[in-house]
Amino acid sequence: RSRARLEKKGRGREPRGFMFEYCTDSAEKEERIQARRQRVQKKLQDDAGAAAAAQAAATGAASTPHSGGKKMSRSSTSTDMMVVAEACAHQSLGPVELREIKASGDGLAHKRQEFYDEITLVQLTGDKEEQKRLAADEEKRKRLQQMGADEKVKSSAECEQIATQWTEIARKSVVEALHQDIEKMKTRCQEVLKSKDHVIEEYRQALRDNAADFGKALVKEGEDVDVIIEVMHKQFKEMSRRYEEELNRLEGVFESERKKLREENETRLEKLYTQRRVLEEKFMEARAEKRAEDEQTVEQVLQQDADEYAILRTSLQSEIQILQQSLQQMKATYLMNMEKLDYDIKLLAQRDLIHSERLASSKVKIIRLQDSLAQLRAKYGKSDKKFRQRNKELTDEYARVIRQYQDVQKTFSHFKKVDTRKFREVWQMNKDRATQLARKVMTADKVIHEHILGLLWFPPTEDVFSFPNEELLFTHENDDAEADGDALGPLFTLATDEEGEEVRALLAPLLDQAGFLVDNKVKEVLGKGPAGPMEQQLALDTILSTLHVESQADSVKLLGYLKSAAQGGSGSGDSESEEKDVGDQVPALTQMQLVAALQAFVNDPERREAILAKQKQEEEREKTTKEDLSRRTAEFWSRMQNVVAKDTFKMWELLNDELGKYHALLENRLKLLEANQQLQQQNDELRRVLQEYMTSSENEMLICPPFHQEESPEKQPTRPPPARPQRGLSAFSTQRQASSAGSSVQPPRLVAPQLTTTAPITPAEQQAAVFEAGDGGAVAT
Amino acid sequence: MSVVPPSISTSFRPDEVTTPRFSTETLTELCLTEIVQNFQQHPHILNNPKVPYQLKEKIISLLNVTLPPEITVVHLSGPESEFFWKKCCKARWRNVDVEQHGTNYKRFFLEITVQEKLEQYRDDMPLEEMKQYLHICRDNVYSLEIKELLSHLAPTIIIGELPYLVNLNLTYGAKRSGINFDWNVAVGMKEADCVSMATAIRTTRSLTTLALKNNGITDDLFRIINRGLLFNQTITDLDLSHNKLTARGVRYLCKVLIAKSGCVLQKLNLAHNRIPAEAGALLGQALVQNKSLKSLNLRLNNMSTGAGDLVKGVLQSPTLTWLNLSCNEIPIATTVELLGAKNLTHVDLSGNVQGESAGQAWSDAVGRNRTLAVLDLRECGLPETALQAVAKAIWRNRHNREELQEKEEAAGVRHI
Repeated sequence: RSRARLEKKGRGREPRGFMFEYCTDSAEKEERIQARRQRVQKKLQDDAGAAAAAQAAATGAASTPHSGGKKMSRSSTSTDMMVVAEACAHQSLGPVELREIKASGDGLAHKRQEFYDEITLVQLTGDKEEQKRLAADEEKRKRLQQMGADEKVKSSAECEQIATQWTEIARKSVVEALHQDIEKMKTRCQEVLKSKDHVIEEYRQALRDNAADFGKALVKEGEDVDVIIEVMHKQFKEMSRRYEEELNRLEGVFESERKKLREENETRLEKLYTQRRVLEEKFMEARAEKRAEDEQTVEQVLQQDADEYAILRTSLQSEIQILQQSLQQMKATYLMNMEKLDYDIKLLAQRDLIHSERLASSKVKIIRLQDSLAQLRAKYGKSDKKFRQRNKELTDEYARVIRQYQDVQKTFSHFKKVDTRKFREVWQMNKDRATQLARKVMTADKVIHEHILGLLWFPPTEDVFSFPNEELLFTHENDDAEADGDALGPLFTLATDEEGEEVRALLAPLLDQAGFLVDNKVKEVLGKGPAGPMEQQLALDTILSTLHVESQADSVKLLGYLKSAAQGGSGSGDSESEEKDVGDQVPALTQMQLVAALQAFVNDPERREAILAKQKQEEEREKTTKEDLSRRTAEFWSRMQNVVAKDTFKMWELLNDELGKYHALLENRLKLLEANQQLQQQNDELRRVLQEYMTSSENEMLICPPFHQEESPEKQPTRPPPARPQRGLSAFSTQRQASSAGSSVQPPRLVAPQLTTTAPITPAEQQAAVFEAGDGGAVAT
Repeated sequence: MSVVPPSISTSFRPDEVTTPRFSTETLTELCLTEIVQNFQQHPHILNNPKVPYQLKEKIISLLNVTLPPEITVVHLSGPESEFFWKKCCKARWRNVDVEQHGTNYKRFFLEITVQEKLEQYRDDMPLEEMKQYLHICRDNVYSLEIKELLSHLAPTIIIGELPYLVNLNLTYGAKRSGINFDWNVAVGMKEADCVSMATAIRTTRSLTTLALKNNGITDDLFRIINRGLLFNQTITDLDLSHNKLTARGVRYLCKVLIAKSGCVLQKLNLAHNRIPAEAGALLGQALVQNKSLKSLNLRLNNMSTGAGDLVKGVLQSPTLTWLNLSCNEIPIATTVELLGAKNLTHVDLSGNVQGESAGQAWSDAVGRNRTLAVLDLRECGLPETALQAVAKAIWRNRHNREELQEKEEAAGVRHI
């Protein structure tokens, strides 16, 4: 098989389709033979005894001239060498053989090349001749074509001439001349025809030549083929001879090599044999020795075993005796036991009888009890129904009451709010009025200080009117109201409506297992009676307050924790969807789960913060308790009261007194002034009367007329204006300033001593009095 | 006289084996005979998986070789049916060389019968029958060598009906007519044949080798075929030897060689045409641009002085390894430069002219070459000394190559 592979491989290397395109079979045949030869050679090289096979193959090659020899190898040597190389690789030949094979392969390849060249030479010469023939053919073809063309030109010219002459001839009327001309034309036409015939003959000749050439070529081809076959036969014989020679030579080489190898191997074998013999002898001796030793030990062991056997036998015999004795004893015991057991059987039979009797009576009893049980069950069912009904009614009632309670709470908070508003309004109003009054007083005070007393006035700070945390007064209450309103409703009801079903399922374990969260007092209250719905609600509220569950949000959160704990306990996750799915059938919580859930709820960071914030707020609220508020309210009002200081008020009283006095004085003065005016009027009238008297005409008759002093009344100054109070006031203020500097407050003494006199006063005197009154303060000091 | 069972008798007396034995046919044998007789009606029995392999083999070996092909081709495939096909081959031909047909008897049988049928076909025979026969054999015909197509059967039918045809060797006309040559029979290709061939070449997806030897293809006819070749991307081996191509035909061919869509031609045989000197330049130019051609045969043309231009192209060709310029009237001195080509391994320049003066140049140049394994310079008038020098150099190159190959193989073996 490997050989086939090699061949295929070798063929694969050859240029495929390398063909000799000669139309005859000669080349193909030669190729085929080449290919065969190549294969044969391979066989020869592969197989040492393949001479016969080569012969057979050669004959086969000769006898099967069929297609299939397309391959041919000029590079056959290369494939040969490759085969040899592979053979070497497979059979691991020695270097001598390799060299020999290579040398013979080389020689054969050279020879083959020679033969190949010899055969291809035939083709080559054929080709060369063909080349020459083609060239000659081409030339001939050209010549003929040229000739044909020339003839065509010539004959057409001639024909034209003839055609023109015909018309000339047709004009001729003389018959003889016409005949002559016609004869002439005939000969000319014949000439043309002859030349054409000549050309045709040339062509025919060429055709005949070609046909003859073709025939010759075929004959030549046949001859060539014969030559090639002959040559190939020769070559084949030569090659097979050479192959045989080479084969023989190589065989000789192989033989000698083999002989050498055999001799070598034989000597080596001999050596190994002797070695073996020696070793075997040694082993024999060793074996005999060992055997003797072993026999001795065997005897010893046998002796020993016999002794041991005797001892063992005696001991075993004694053991047998002992065992027989014990057997007897056991037999006796068994006999006794049998008797005892017989007696027992009898006893038990009797007992069995008694038991069967008792069983019958018990059965009767059982039947009776079952009857009563059925009755009781019926009774229980009835009462249960009744109580359920009652429970439902009560629960409804409870819900209604709670609703009412909530309503009341709502109204309460409403009224509280309204009251607060009213209170705030009243408060505001009062406060405004008070502030107004206070401001009025303060303005008065300012006027008194600045205008009347001429002193600097310092206004009090605005704090007087402010009331810090005034809003707290209302908001605090409002907050309370709201908070109360919020916390009023029960966070959870244990109602039996459908919505609360789930909540109840969650809270039931809370009630059952979180009893430790209930206050002791509440416990006492609860401990007395059985746990009805109201008690349960109470307990629940207590627990919730312990857990700081105070708003609806907290309660929802707590429920969420409980739910997740329940589902976590039942092995499912805590996603929302699953919560909803499982919500309908919340499994009962164990105490551990419940406690864990409650712990988680209590430790919830959000809630913690909320609680802390709440506590802080409460602390703040503590600060502003009602007490504090009332105290501050009182303070406020007292402050309002004491807008004007006591000292100031005293001063005001004194001022009032003094001013009263001053008023009286002024009034007195007014009266005096009026009296003065009356006197003036009287005086004027008197003057006029005197004037009239003086100026009367009777006077001229008088020797001595009355003396006349006209200048004096004209010189009299106009009556001074009444003293302005400012002047007085300013005097008073200066006096007050001075007195205040002396830290002793004395009401100013207004001095008007002359004014009290009722005596008539001259204008000059009056003027002086007035001036005196004006400078009274100064005089007093 | 009692009848002794034959098995016992043979075991008892082996020397009496030659005597005619009494035996009855087993039931299996009877069944097999029946199946074989009615195989034409029920060929599906071979497809039945319940039939044991041994029995299938037996049925196949017993089948008659005259069964119609439409049954045998379809139902007798696979390795076990090779016995049957071998039997068919042996019954028809004395010499069966399946190596050229994929070592497959079925393929051999069908390819040779198709060849014969096509060669026997005449234009007046029914075409449908032929088509049907081709259709039956379509899956098993890969290579066709039609040495004498006497009809003008359109190649589209052959190539279209045989989708796996890889190798087509087609020659129109009678062979071996000898001196009784008749123009009416040996005609070569007609224009219609060429049009059909162009269409077939354009549409085929399998054909890789196309040989149109001795078909009297002129330049005009080749132009028609060339239209198909320009669109073909499968044919790697084109044989146009023994036709009537001239410089114009070569120009058309060069278009294929330098086609922008990429040329796939690896082997081109233009032997025995009428290619003149001016085609050398064309081919040289094409070779420079072409990146696929490995082998070029221009034997028996008239290149003469055009060889110089061709050699310039060969020197620049990246792929060409095999060149035949035998019998071309080439002045041998103009081709000395070929020895400088790095890829060439095989050059045939035999039968050219003017070797006397070029002898020295060749014997000098050949010593420098290391790649040529074959160089034929016989019949060129070269002096004997030059030829000897050439032969020596070539032998040296061959030895070098062999050693290189041995080394590579040893490396390969070690690698494996």
